[in-house]
Amino acid sequence: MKKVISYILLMAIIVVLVPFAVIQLNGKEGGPVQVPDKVKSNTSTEKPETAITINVYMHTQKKTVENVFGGLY
Amino acid sequence: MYLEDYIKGVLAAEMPAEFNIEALKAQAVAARTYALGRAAKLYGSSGVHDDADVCTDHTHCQAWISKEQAMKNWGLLSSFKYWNKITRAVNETQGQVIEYNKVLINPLFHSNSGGHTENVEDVWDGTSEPYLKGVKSMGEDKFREYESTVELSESEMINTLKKNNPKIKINGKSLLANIKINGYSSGNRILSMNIGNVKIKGTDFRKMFNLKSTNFKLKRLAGGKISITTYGYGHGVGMSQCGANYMAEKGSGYKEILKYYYKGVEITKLDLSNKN
Repeated sequence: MKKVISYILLMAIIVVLVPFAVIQLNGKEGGPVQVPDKVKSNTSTEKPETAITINVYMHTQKKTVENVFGGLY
Repeated sequence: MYLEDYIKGVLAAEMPAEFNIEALKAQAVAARTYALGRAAKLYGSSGVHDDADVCTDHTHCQAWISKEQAMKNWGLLSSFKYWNKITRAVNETQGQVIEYNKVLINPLFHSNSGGHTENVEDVWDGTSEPYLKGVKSMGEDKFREYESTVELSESEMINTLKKNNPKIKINGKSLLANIKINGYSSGNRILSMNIGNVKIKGTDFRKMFNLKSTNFKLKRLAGGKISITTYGYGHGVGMSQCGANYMAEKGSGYKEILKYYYKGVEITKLDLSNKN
């Protein structure tokens, strides 16, 4: 009897929750959410493959300054 | 390092983060152009860091500090606000550079012009760029960088002059009576002066006495002292950071600011599709 009740409960959980989970993943019924490009670029932490890199020579700590605004140059 | 990340560190080191966002954007575009111009070997001196495009020494390249250092400098209360502001300035100008005749310019900048920027040839002999011409720069006197005064004893000044010019001869008792200004630049900076029997460039005099600019006035004070009052801060060529902030506060956008200080330029966006 316990097994039958457990089985029914399990099936009920699957039947009720799986569609919700699918909707949550896709954002809506019928397909994945279309994320606007603007949002994609703002939320992505990955650098685009075309990002420019630059070689920077780091001077020692002695050369580190807080802010050179108003500096001699 | 990613260029855009580098630019954030330059902004944090080169311009006060409390400045107007449009001034920060102007600085971001100038800093990006500066870095790429040196990476492309268009400008900059060789032999200092040949293996690198730029360095973090502000006496040679642009100053740069890490995000951690910047946030530490700003303190807990302002650090996130300022870093977000800098990030916004860089992101909203991403990939934008300054060009003249479709070539990256040498976007020199300085703190405060004293009211008028300089022609590049008046500061560095043998250089001339059509976009680095002196312009009137409004609102500079609103900043503390505008004016400063140092006081030296006459004997101190003479000693410094003799140290740098061993052949100099000062006649009579008054040093100021031996000084004759030969000419001023369009920005009212001293081009050269005769001191005794020696001709000294304004830029050399500035170095000798560690002055903030070559726009200065000498005055005799009581007790044998001489005051040197300087106007502006820095070489005075290109964009004035104080002037840029003043323009931004008055409603100018970053492109307008850049086109004001760099004559005849265009702000363009890099095509990143074929570059790495």
